[in-house]
Amino acid sequence: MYIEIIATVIIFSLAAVIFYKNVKRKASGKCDCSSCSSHCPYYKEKKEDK
Amino acid sequence: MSITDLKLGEKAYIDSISGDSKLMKRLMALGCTEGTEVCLKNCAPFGDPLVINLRGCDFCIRKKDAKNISIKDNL
Amino acid sequence: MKTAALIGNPNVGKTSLFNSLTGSNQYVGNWAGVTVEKKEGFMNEDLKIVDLPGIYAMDTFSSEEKVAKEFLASGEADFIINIVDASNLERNLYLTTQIKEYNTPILLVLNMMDVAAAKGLEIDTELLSRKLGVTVVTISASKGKGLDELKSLLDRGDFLRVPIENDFQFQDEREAYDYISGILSAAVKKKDEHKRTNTEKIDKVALNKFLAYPLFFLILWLIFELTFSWVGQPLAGYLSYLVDDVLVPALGSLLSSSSPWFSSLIIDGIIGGVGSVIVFLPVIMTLFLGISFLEDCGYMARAAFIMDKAMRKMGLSGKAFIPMIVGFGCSVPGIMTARTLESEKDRKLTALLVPLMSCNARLPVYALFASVFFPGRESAVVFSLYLLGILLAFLLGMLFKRTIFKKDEEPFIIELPEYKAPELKNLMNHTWDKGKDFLKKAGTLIFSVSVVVWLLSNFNFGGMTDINNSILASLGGFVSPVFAPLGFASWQNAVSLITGLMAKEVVLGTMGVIYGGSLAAALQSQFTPASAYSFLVFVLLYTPCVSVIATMKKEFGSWLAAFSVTYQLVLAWIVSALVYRIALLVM
Repeated sequence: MYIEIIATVIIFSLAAVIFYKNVKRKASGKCDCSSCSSHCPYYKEKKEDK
Repeated sequence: MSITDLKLGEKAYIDSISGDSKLMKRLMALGCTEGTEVCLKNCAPFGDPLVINLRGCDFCIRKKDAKNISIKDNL
Repeated sequence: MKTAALIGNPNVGKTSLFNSLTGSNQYVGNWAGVTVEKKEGFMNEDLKIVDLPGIYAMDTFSSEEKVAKEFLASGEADFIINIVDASNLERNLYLTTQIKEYNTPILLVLNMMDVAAAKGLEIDTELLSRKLGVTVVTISASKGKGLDELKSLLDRGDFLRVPIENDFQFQDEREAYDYISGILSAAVKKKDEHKRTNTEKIDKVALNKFLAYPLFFLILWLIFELTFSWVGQPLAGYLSYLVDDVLVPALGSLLSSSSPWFSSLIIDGIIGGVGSVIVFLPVIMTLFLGISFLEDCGYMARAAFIMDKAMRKMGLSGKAFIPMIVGFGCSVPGIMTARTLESEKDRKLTALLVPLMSCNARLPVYALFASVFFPGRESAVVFSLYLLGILLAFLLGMLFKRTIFKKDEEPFIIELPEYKAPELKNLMNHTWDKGKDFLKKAGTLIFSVSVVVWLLSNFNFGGMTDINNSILASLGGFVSPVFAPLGFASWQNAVSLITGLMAKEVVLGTMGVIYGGSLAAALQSQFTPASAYSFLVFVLLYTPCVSVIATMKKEFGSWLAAFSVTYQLVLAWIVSALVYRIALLVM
C-alpha cells in the first residue's frame, strides 16, 4: 500500500516537472522538435547541446 | 538571339544582358559577362526553368529571365 | 586573441571546414536586424573564427552580402580565410577580388582538390599566390586531407608575416573576370578533355524532359512503400504485439495484488499512453532515413529545380521547396529554413504553408488508423494525406498570392551542385539520433501528458469515478458538438485533439489512455472508415503544436502566428467536413 503511494507521488511529480519544463521550452520557441535537418539553423547548436 | 534560342548542349558567347537589375547584377557576379562562353545544358519538363553552364558551373534560371540574356553567334 | 573571417561561395564546403576547425566550440545566433544566421567558433583560445554567410559577390543587394560587407568593413577580422572550390576557380575567385579591397591579409584555401584532380586539373598554387597576392593552401575537407596542415598554419600564423600585396581596382565584372581568366590560364592546366562526370550522367535521367517528374514521384513512392509496407510498419506491428500481448499481461500479473487504481495508473495510463506512440519508432526512422538520403546526395536541388514552375503558381520559387521538404519532418525547422529565402514576403508565405506539409509527429496517428480501417492500403491512404496537404498548400498559396502577398517575383538562380554518395555512417548516426529524440519525447512529454490525462479521466470533483463522468469527459463533451458534421463527435476524440496541441503524437497517446485496452478494437467501435479518414484529414490540417506557434511568433510576430492558428483551424474543419460528406457517398 505504501509503496504504491510513494511510487504514485514520484510519478506525479515527475510528470508535473516534465510538463512544466516542456511548456516553458515550447513557449519560448526554442527548437523542440525530434527531427534535426542539416538545413535547420539550430542544427549545430542542438548537436553540441547533447 | 537569346539563350532560349539555343538547342540543348549548344554553346554560344554572351552578348549582353538586360531585364531586372537585381538579376543582372547577380548574373554578372557569377561571370555572365560579354564574351563569356555559355552552354544551355538542360531544361525542366515544360521548358522552364533552364539549366545553363557558366564558367564551369551549372545554374538554373527561369525562361523569362533567360530570354534577357542575348548571345552572339554560336561557335 | 585573433579573429578570422571565414568567407566563400555557397556549396564549397565552408560549413564543413568551419566544423572541422571549431568542433563543438560554436555558437549560432543572428546578425542584428536581419534573419541571417551568425556563426562564431573558436579553434583554440587564440583564434576566433566568424563564419560569414555563403555569397557569390559583395554587391548584389542580398542581406547576406550586407552582413559580410559590414563585418569586413568593421575591421574586426585580423585576417580572412577565403575558401574556394578548386574545381571551379574561375567563379570562386571573383569574390576573392572583391574582398581584396578590405586590405586584410587573405588565406586562400583551395578545397575539393580531389574533385579538381578527378576533372583532370593541375593547379600551380605558387603562381596563383603570387598573382593574387594571397597565401594559398590546398585541402580536401571531405577526405580529411590537408586539415592538419591548415590548422598548424593557422596556429603558427606565420603566413601573416609575409608581406603580400596586390591591389585590384576593377571597373566592372567583365574586367575582373578577364583578369581572373588571365591568371588561371597560366596557373591551371587541364589534362583530360571534358570528361562526362557522374553528375552529368545522372542528370541526363533525373532532369530529362519526360522522366523527371515520373522519376521524382517514383522516388517518393519508394520511400513511402519502404516506410509503410516493407520495413517501418511491419516492425511497428511487431513492437505493438510486444507491448499489448507480452508486456501488458506480464505487468498485469505483477500488479495483480495491488490496488486497482494503481495498476490502472501504470497499465491504462502510462503504458497505454506511451506504448501507443512508442511502437511507431520504426516508421519514423525509416521515413527519416529516406528523406535524409535524398538531401545528402544532392537530389533535393534537382527537385527544387523541377518543382519551380509549379511552386511559382503557389506564389513561391523553387527555393521554397527545401523548407517545405524539411517541414515534412517537423514544421519548426521548416519555418526556420525559410530564412534562406530572399524576401520577407516569401518567408512569411512559406512559413504559413509549411505546416500543411504533414509533419512526422502525425505519422503514428495515420499509421494506426490506416492499419485498422484500411488494411493492405496503408501506404496509399497515408500518401493521399500528404498529397492533400500539398494540394491545399498550392490552393492557399495561390489565394494568398492574389490577396495578402501581392508582389513581384524574386530573381531565381540556384546552383546545381555535384551529386555525391551520402556518407553512410553519417546517415545512420542522424537516423539513430532522430530515433533517440523520438524515444526521449515519448519518455518525457507523452509520459507526462498521459499521466495528466489519466488523472483527469478517472476523477471528478467527487473523487475517483467512471470515465464517462470524469472532468475530462465534461470538458470534451463541451467541445465535441463542433465535430458533429465531421463524423467523429465524441468527448474522447475532442479531448485527444486538444491534447494534440502539445505534440501531435499525443493525440494517439491520449486515445491510448482514454480508450484503454486494445486501442485498435476501441477505434473500430468509435469510427467508421469514413469518419476515420475525415479525422485523419483534421489531424493533418488543424493547428500545429505549440512549438510551431511559438516559432512563428518568434520569427514573424504575433499577428502572423495568430493568423496561422486561426486559418488552419477553419481550413481543417471545412475540409474535414467536406471529406466526410464525400466519403459517406463513396464508402
